[in-house]
Amino acid sequence: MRIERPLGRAENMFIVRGVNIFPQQIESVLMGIKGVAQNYQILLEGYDEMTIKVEIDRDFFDGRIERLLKLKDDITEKIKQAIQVRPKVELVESGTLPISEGKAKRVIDKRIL
Amino acid sequence: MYYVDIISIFAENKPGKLEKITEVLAKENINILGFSIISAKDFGVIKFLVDMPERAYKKFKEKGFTVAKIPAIGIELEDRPGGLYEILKLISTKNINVENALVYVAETRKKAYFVFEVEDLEKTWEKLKDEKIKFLKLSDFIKNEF
Repeated sequence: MRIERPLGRAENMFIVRGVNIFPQQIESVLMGIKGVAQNYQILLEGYDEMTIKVEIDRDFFDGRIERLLKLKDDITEKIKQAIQVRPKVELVESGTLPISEGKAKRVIDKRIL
Repeated sequence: MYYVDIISIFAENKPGKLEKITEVLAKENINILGFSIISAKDFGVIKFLVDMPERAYKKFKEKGFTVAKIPAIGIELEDRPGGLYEILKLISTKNINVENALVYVAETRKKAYFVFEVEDLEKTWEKLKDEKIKFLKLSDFIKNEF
């Protein structure tokens, strides 16, 4: 049996479709992708739907939509690999999400469970 | 080489977004000559050909928009049936792939341009420069910017 490193504080953990998820898992995936800016937000809605809003880096944008679509697919795939749940990814403008400093509310849970 | 800059803006798909973008141009007295909107569900890219491209780019940057400039080639279209078809036929026989395009109507019922983006501008220019076509030049529409 493999002993994994702690993924994050237990109090931050949330469960989607039966899977335990730590925001830190998502964060570390996002930080490793070029084109992603600092902030993100996890929205849990409806019957266990997970949407991740990701700010895009202003300098990454070259005017072509193809590049953004590829970035969106990349993010979706890499997060799916990391947490076993496929999120819906939404790209948003840089500076539109709450800043990551301190205890920014990363996870917003509006599920009707 | 004759090319023009297209101002390209990333926009989330939500009410009022287009209004805010065009407001920037209106306040700066920048005239829109042609535009296109490409939508991919929750976001889109809005493209403008304007009479003051440098100023527009700078203003959008200043105001925090996600903006880029893309060079594009403009070719004059004849105002008659088949006008666009002939230009596109020429482009495709040269094996040039149009990535995005907009139309600039310079004089109603007289003069219009097909303005398009390609992957490799220089290669495209080499393929087209000796053809009997009229290219859109910056000096055809640009206003004194600053």
